[in-house]
Amino acid sequence: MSGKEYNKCVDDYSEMLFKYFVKNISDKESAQDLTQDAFLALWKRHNEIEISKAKAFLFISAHNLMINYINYTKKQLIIKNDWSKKEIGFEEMAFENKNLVNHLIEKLPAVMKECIVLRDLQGFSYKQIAQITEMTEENVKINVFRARMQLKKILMSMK
Amino acid sequence: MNNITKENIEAYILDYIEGNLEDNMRKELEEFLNKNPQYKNLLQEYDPSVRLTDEKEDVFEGKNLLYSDFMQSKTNEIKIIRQNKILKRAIAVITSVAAIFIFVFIFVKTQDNPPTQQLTKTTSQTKTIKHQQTEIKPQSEEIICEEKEFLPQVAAKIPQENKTNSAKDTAKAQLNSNEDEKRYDVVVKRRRLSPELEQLICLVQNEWSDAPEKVLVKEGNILQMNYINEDRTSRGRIDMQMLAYPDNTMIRYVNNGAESSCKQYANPMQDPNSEIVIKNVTLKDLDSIIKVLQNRR
Repeated sequence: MSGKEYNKCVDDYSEMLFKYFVKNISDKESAQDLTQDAFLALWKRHNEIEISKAKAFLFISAHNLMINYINYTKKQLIIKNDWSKKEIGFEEMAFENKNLVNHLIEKLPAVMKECIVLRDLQGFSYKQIAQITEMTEENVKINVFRARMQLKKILMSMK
Repeated sequence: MNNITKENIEAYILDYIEGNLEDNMRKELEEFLNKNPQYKNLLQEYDPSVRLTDEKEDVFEGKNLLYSDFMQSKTNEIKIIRQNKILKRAIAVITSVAAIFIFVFIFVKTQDNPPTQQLTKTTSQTKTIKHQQTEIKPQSEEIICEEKEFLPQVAAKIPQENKTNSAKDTAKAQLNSNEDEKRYDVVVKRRRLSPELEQLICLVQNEWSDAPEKVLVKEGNILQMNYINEDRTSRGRIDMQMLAYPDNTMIRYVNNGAESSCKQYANPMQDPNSEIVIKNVTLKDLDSIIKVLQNRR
């Protein structure tokens, strides 16, 4: 992959990768740093990697970086027990469900969250998600299914 | 994919709803749901419209920092930073190793040095002691030599009590310490078996050497000898009492209770007992001198 092709990857995937991090770790500054780290990893090996595999490489790197970050910060990424309607007020509830889902995703377990982010925001196939997250395709589907079911339950309970 | 089970039913329902199942699998899933109707709820509850949407708020601001030009410089920076890190680590390792080495060296030196200093001191002391010993040794030899000559002369002057008191040697040291020179004058008093009796025993053993059986019993300065004649027809007891005088020695024989004879010997008895005065000795030498005197018996 040439320098120009690498720059094209930056144009195409930087936003995507940033959102992936934002959705998963809920910290924009850290997401920005992690995005830079992921692209730095790509840049270091850009001579070896073909442009067709750049996206997968970026997200695999991103997945590993995120796991390291979570382990490092020991951040609790699962659903908070003390979640209450105060956090999402009545006015916010008036938003469309689609907008609400983006907020509610923080309540999901990390694995489900990553799977659904990769699926819905990054548009990866289940096979690609399985490759990135090092899970079986079947498990990815189960996680995506359960994530949607949990989000729906939360939405229903709010109404 | 694997067979449909209770564990993976959710994955098949997802594929079913998204239209990704082949016909045979669709039929299989429908059959499974008919057999397990409790999972039909999943099919009904699943809402594919619950999806994450792209939010315009999440804008990545650092795109300029990701382009190749910047990355090139950044990697150079990172290389320099890493080189510095490696250098720092190497320096840290070297300094720590050096510090440990110095510490160990100092520790070993401090462990070794004082003793070596002490040793040198002690060796110097021993040297001086040895020197002193070499100085003293001839003196102690002289003392011993003197003793042989001196003792007979002293023997005559010794009171009778001292001569007959004890059969055991006792050594008493009277130390007159001289702090400046750390040398002492020693007076050794020896008390032992009455020397006259020892002399008497020697005389009797010589005179009665032909006696087949002799039993000598020492009591004070009286020697008792039980005897049996050669023909074993008679037996008896001879008491011998030695009387020591400055010029001669008298032995009185009492045979079976009756005084039989009295012999006079020209030489006075030699009594090794006496006061032995040893001057100008060290404490260490004193011990060895006392041992020498005790072993003389």
